[in-house]
Amino acid sequence: MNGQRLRKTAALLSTRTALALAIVAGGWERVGWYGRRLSDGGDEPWGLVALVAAVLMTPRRVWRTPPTPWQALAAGGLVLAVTLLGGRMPALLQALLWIMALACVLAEGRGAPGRTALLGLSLPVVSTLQFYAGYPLRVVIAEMGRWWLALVGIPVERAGVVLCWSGGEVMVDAPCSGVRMLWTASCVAAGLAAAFGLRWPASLLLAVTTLAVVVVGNALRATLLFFTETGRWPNPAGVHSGIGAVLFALVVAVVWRVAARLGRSEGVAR
Amino acid sequence: MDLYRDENVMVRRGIASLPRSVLVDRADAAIVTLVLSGVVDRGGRPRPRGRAAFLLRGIGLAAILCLLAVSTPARADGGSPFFQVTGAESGVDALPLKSTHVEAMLTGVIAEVCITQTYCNEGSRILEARYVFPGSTRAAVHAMAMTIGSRRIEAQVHEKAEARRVYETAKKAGQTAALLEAERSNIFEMNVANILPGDVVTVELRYSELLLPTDGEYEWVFPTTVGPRYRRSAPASATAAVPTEDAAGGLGHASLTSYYTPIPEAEPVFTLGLELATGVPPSFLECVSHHATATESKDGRTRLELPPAEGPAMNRDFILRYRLAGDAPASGLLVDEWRGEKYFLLTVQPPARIEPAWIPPRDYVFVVDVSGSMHGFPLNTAKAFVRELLMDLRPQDTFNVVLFAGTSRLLSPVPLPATPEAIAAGVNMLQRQNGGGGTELLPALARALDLPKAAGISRSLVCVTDGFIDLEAEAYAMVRNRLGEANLFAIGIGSSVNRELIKRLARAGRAEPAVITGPDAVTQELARFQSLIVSPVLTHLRAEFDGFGAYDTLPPALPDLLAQRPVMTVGKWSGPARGIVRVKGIAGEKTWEGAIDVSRAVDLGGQGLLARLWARERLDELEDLHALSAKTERELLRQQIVELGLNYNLLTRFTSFVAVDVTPRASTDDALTVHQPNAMPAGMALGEEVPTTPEPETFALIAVAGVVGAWKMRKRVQGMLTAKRPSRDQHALS
Repeated sequence: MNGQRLRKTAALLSTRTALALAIVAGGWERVGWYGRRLSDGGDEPWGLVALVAAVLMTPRRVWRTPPTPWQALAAGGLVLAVTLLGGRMPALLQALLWIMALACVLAEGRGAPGRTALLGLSLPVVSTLQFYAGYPLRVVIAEMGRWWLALVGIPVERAGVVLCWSGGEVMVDAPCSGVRMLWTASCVAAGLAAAFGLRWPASLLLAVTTLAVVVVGNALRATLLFFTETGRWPNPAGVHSGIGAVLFALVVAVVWRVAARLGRSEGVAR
Repeated sequence: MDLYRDENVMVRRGIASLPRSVLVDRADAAIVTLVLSGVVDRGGRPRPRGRAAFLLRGIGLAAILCLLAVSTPARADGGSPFFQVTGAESGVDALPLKSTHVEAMLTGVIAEVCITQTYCNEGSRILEARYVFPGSTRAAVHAMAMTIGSRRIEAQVHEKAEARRVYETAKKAGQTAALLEAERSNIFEMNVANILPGDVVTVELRYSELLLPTDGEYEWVFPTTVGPRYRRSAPASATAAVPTEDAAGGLGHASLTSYYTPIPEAEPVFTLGLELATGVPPSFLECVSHHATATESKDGRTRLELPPAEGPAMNRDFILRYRLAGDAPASGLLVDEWRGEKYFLLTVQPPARIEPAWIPPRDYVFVVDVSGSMHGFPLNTAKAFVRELLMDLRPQDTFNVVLFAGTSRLLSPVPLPATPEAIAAGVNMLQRQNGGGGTELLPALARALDLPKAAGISRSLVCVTDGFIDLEAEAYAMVRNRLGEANLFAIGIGSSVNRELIKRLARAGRAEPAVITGPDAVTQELARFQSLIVSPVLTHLRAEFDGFGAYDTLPPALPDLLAQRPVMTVGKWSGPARGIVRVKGIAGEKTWEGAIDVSRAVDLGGQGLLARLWARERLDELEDLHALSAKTERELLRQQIVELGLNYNLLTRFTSFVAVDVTPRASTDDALTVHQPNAMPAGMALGEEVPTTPEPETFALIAVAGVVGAWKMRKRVQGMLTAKRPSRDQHALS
């Protein structure tokens, strides 16, 4: 009885699965780092959602078929690079290379780009994005806000990330940068790319579109909140988060629509 | 990054606060839902096997997102770190300081003050009370005593760490003890350990200070509350409230944590009695801050009483102003002997101000604090004050404006001629401010000090702030080191400004401090300020001691006298009390000389008063040097300050008073530390920040994405139920 169960279990373990498990086991330091980062408060633990989605959206037939030599070679090369150069690289970069090695193993069939993106987004990247991209995004949002406000006849000056108007200032500070929106919308886009089975060109197009839609949506959100924060519009409780939620819903709807169109066009091409 | 770290710590704590079983259950439920919903079918293939599976998959995805989203609790603070002082426990008296009584005697140019704080424990647990309170900027605190029942214990002065050790030992031994430390030269901290339920512990502290009239008017100020300081680092937590000695040795690094009560009724009873024993009756006497009543006694003394007030009384400084009949000159020489050394205090009345006929053009830089703590009347007053100054500039003058809060803004990169257009631009820039953000004084000062200036034109910096910053010493050192030939006038605005910073900034800036406590004082201060700038009373001052053996005189070099106030110097002397002291200077374009005959000096009879005043002046000098010195020299200066404190029984930043009742009275196991709150300075509001537009939290965004997903799926399901052919999206998915 036991021998039969063992044989069944062994049958499930394809070369690809074994390779994926070997990469996970071999990268135990990265796994430990990932666990610590999820719990040290430096980043939000929502990357787990992307990780679970990436694993569950990988079809079982992908797990069962052996990897191509190129996939195995690329995964091996990345693991080797992390092993040899790991000490000289930031921990996040090491983790990225390591998880990309895993992605190489699982990059089979349609939707692979989406799953690869989900694996990348599962890393604790929000704080890093905030640190490096936060300020440029804030400047862009403040400038777009200034432009739109000028269009409706409100003279506003931009000083860095501060919108100065005749009655005071409204600041586009770090929590306004849109990095959270960008991460969440990117996860949605990656999930849709996997679900609709998008190939690399369509997936990249979807990624660029998502970035543009998020920036525009966030700038629109900040502009609308300018009216409530300056007292031009009433500002009862809930309006602030309500505007953010509605605009993000619109962003997701647009991303969904674009992904669906791209999926249809890929289906036609196929 | 810190903001996000804090936020995420809070999110993490939120998750951690959930029972583990709940988290496990939710994670399991998510996975089970994924499997059940058909995202992973039994065959492991992603494609749907039918309409029902497709429907289940869509709903499942949405459900997972929503489920995970709600598993993180919502936050109530809207995205910023916060600090909350919760209410006291049951059985704990959260406000053990019941009353503060002040008794002051003003004699000529010296004030002797006794503060009595009464602590009482009305709860059922043993308490340690901690109370941070302000002192006068020139106070020489020289005595402290503690009374419990009929036992009175005189406090001893010790080096700060030693005093703390004595206090902690007594506290652990269950003995009632009191410790008085100086966090800054004008902020004190009282700790009273082992106050038993029902105990009444009285702590007295005494200080002396020098009073010098300006334009014939004396002003005595008793500060009542410590305004919250803006600090660049993260807010202090309750656990970081124990003061530590300044490790870096720099002035202003010591821990400063105050607690504030939003309930005015919670403040202790504040009463004050004051006696004016000047010999000459006052021609004018006004308490500008409180409703005090004055009576004249038979011996010519004037008694002022402040009864317990119905409303808040400790949310603003007590300010008394008076003039003596006939504007009695404050000239004179006081001498005293203490512990084998002789001390003198010389005050010389200067000549009347001479208005020069021709005043050269000047360059003014107005550095104005527009931070959150200035919101309300301080900023409105600052606007009015600076606007008036700008309007009064002459065409040949130049000016610039630097506004600062969290960042600083400059009106122009180069000095602007005082044309009507430029003045209007400066006024408009200031008028737009509402007050918000942090108080980054240092970068603003650095920017102002670095501004280009035309050669041959004198510059005056006018710094307008409430002074509620943490890095006082750094600001002071920066002005002293980088000011060059310019002057810096420090103007404090508010009901309880940081007078220490204003005074030190002005001293470093070789100019005068001014404090405007309300909009009504703008006109008066404006006129005074203009006279200070355009026509100093005396310049190139020096004191000559002819036949009088003076030494260790302070200040070592007499500064220019900008205001109409007596020239003051305090020092030691030896030999016989004879000779002439001459003070010489230049008034306008003429030489001026004032002389005092030493033989007519008034002997104070060994009270030690002048010794303490000399020690206080010396302390100021040492602390200035300490703030400016390199790290290696600071230890030497610290030792000198300790010696000064121990020799003169003086409270300094490195010496403290400690009193211990040696009778063990309490088991310390149950003792609880209570932080006595201060009143928020009147007219000051915390939390006035620049409005921002933060995006929703990630969990909310995920929830929204889930809802949109569910909506999309719903439409598709409807389509599947009504249409005979599969939707286009489904084609793509398949």
